[in-house]
Parts: sequence; structure tokens; C-alpha cells
Amino acid sequence: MANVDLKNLTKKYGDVIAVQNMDLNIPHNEFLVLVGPSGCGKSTTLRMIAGLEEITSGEIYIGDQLVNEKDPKDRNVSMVFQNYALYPHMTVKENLGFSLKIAKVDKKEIEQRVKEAVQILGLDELQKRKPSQLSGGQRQRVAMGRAIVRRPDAFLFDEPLSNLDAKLRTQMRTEIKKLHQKLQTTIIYVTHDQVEAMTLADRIIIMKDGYIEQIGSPIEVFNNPINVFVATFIGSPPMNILEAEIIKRDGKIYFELDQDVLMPCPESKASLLSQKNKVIIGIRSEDISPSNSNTSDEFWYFEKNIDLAEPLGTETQLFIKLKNKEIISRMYNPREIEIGEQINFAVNLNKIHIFDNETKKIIK
Amino acid sequence: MNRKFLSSPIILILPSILAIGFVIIIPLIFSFYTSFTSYKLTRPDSLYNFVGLRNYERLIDNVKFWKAFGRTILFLAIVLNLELLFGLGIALLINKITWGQRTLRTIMMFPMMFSPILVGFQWKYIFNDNIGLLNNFLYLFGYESAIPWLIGKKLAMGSIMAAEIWANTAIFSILLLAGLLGIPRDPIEAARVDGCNSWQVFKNITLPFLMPFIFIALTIRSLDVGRAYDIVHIMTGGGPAMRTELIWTMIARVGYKDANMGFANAMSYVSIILSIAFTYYFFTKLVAARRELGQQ
Repeated sequence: MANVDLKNLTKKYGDVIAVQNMDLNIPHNEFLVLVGPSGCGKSTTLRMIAGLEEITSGEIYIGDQLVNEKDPKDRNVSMVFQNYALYPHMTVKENLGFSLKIAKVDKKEIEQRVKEAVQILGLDELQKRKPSQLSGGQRQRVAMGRAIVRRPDAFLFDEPLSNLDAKLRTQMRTEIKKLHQKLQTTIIYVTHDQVEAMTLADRIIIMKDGYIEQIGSPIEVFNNPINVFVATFIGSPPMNILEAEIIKRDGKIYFELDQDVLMPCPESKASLLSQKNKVIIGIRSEDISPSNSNTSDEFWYFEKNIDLAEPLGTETQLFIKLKNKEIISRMYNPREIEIGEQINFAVNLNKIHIFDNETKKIIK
Repeated sequence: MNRKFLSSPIILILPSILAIGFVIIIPLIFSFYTSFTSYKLTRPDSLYNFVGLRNYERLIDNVKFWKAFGRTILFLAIVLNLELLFGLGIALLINKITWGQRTLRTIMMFPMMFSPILVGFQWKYIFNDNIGLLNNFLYLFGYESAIPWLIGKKLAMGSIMAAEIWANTAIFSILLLAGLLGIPRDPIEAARVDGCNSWQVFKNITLPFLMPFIFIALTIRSLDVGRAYDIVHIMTGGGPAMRTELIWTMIARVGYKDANMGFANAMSYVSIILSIAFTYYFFTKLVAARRELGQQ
């Protein structure tokens, strides 16, 4: 039970920077998710915390203890690997009890703790099997059980669900969340899947090229992305991004989204844009939706022909084109859509995101 | 002509049947037959002198043969164990190296590239009590009296073993290195996080993964070492006073020097049992080790 602190953490492979000057405080009992595209340094960060990767510079504290020079075995963290990393020559029971056996824990105590883990994870009937006789989901459970029995200061998960099929992944996601509530321990979880990040995290860290792009709660990073990268990375389908010229007419500011398609700038943002000629506009698909009326002041309306429609049941995703870029809109009360049909769309002006076209950062 | 007999499947496998017949089966039957005769190389007509089981009966009472038999087992046991130990050590060290590994692997295999006869000669001159490198080297450090490496009662066997180990440890290293390179990284990292120090990782994770490779190497090498002849013949010729006589040097002596081929063949058939026993033992171990790892 402990907090984990990273101070100015850097990892270089030769000239290649994997993680750059990372500062992070992870309080006890937080479920922290590191998310980002492959190669962004998230796994390297996790492996540095575990002690499997040497640190180029900076400091790592686990429970207020500097662990830079400590071996993985002395850090009291548990890790769950992407490929499960079970010991193939040991039975499930032996796999679970291995770390305790190494730590020379009393046999009765081992028995007791393995039993607990087996019950929590529903592995009762599998105890005598070897890993090769288990399915992917069962192996993942054993890997988690192996982490649990140690009662570590922190759990480290390295893309634990990416080898499972979609259905099992959803199921295991729920189980991991429940597990966290039950165990009350710090969890650091690495994934490239933003849905996993959103559903599991107390706090999300979005990384790219070794840097932290944004830290915040799932709702925060979803509603207030700090730059274009975060905006497109979090949320599914990704946020629609459009480059727009700023046009001033009658003392008002408009964004030119396409030829003769002018979207008015919300008044609250107008003062920020006086120096700009060009911006990047981000609109989430749920904020562009088909509408029957065109009267509200909070909305801007435009008509467009449908390129493609993907019915998902609860909603239909409509594809239109603005400036030759594909834009996705969500229709929440689906009806049959014909390709080429002209539809009236409403954009919620309070929900649009305006980014600087050079720095790609939010303007606010 | 009988159509059935020369059907196309038979015609197609006939060349290989003939080849195997001429190369293996006929010599095998012939040599097995001669072990029941008093066949002497110098008297070809003795080939037809059938003596039944007499060669085998003589063998059972032959103390020299059973001593050589026992000595061969001892030789096998010590050489295989030491080669395994050294080979494993070298493989583990090379596996740790990140730069220059290929070059080192090549250098390591140099001893295997020399003819065993020449290795025998070279070691004979290293171990020579008079002009040998080793004794001269020891002399520099004050050992005045020459040590009789090749003619000492107890030393000769050890010297041969040293030469054998020098020449062939690389086979173990190469096979075990292949095994080490094939071990997945994850379980080892998991064990390190699980609290294992280097020795515990080796004992609990690396070694079980390596076991199949160890038994493959042992199987191959037990056959190899079991038929040791050249190195012994060159270095000591079985001496002093037959103290380094192994099965095959004895068989060669009886068969070619004494020209007593019938008796020599009887010895060969008994000693093959030894090879089969070792192979069978290691192979069952191999299967068990693979099953342990969940491989089939």
C-alpha cells in the first residue's frame, strides 16, 4: 500500500529518447492508466517502475523510498504481462504460490493466500492444470492471481488484455475494475486502447514520443483535450478535425469549413481569435447531429449530402465531407438513410474545440 | 511377370530399400553371424566354422572386457557431466554478451574443427612427461619432478578426459546457447519481479526451459563419447597396463591386432546395449522435460 512518485524521469536508448523528464505523483489507491500510441514510452515507464529497465536519469520513489538502485525483487511491486508470462512448468497453484515460496513464507500462509486468490478469481477447478491447458482468459486470471498473492505496494499492468478477444476483454476489464475496488491498492496500467483507459482509470495520462501530453480524469481529458493529439486519441470515433480560415464579416468572426460553408464563432471565444487567420476546429461526432429545426442560437445549421451511413443499432454514424475531409456525425434516433440524401445538421457551438493551427494547442 | 510384386509403390521405394539393405542390413546380419563363428581375419575359411554361443560365453567370463566396459561407463559419466557443466557455463556467459557474440561463438567452435586424431597428437605432446608443454610449464613454477600424465596409473585416464573435454565442450555450448536464445523473456522478468535473485531465476525458470536442450545434447554426446577410440588410441593406446582401455579400443585390438573378428563382433553387440541404454534413458528424460514445459 503506497504511493508512487516519479521525478524528472528520463530514459534514453543511445540517442533515442523513450521517456523525457517525466514528473508524476501517484497517490495510494489510485488507478492510473498510461495510454498512447505504440512507441510513446508508456511501457518503458512501467518497466522502469518495475526495475526491469534501467533509468537514464531521474528518481523513482515507491512509498517514499528511493528505488532507483533496487532490484525488481526488492521493490515489492507485482506485474502482469501482456503475454501472461506464466511459468509453463508449474501448475496454476505453483504459479500462484511461487513468489511466496521464494520469499520463504510459511507454508500454511502460502496455502491460505493462494486459496484467497483462487476464490477471488474463480480459479478453483484449474489449480492442478498447467498453463498450456488453459485458455487465454484463464491464463490472464492466473497472471493476475500471481500478482494478488504477493500483496504488493503497487500493481503494474502491461497491456494485459490485448491478447484476448473482444468479448473476453470487456469481461476482464470489469473484473480488473472490481479487483481494484476490492484490493484498494495503487494500480498503474498501460494500454494503447483508449476505451480501456476511459473505463478503468481514476486518472489518465496520455503520452506521445516520450512526453506527457495531458493528465486528467477520463471526463476531463474527453471534454477538455489540451491539444489536437489528445482530442483525436481519446474518444471513439475520433474527434472531427478541420482546418478553417477565419473570415470577418459585419464585425463577426466566422470559420470557413468549406467553400461557402461559414460557421459562426461562439462569442465567448471571439476575443481570443483577433490575431489569427487560421485555426483548427475540433467537433466530436455527437455534437454534429441531424436536426429538424434550425432556430436555436446555440446551434449552427448546415445542409449536406450523406456519403455513407453505418447503422450501429442505438445510433447511426453518418459520413459527410467538408473540404474533402471525412466528417462523422451521430444520429441518435436512427431511421433508414439513403446515400446522397440531403440532411440538415446542427452543430453545438458551445462544444466545439478551437486549436491553434501552428502549436496544435487549445485556444482558450 | 507378377504384376502385384512390381506395383509402382514398390518400384518407387525399391532404391532406398536396396541402399539400406546393402549399407546397413546385410553388414549387420553378416557381422551378427560372424559373432557365432570363430572367424579370424587371417583365415577366411574360418568364417564357416560355426561355434554357436561360445564367443558370448567367453565374453561373460572375460574380466578384461568387463573392466573396459565399466571404464567406458565411468568415462562417459565423468566426461558428459563435465562437458555439460563447462558447456552450460560458457553458454550462459556468451548469452550475457551483447557485443561480439557471433565472433565469440565462432572462436568457441575452433576445437571442433580439428581432426580428433590431431587433437590426440597435440594433447599427447602437451602431456608428454619429458618434453611436454605442461610439465615444462610447471617446471617454471618449481615442480622439479616430471609428472607422468600419460603413463601414470591414475593420471592417464584424467589426461584423456581433459583432451576429450577440450575438444567437444563446444557442442554443449552451442546446443545450450540455442536453448537459451529460445527462452521467452517474459517468464524471466516475471520471476525477477516475483522476487527471484539471479540464481533463483536460473534454477526455477532458465533451467527447466533448458532441460530439453540438455537432454538432446546428452543423447548426441553419449553416442559420440561411447564410441571413443581415436583419442585414446593416439594418446595412450589403452595403456598403461590397459588402464585406459575402453570398449572400442579393446574391440579394435581383438578384431584387428589379434585378428579375432568373431569374438570382437560378439563384444560389439554386447557394447551396443550400452549405447542403446544411454540413448533410451536420455530420450525418456527429454520427453519428460518437454511434457513438463507443456510442449508435446
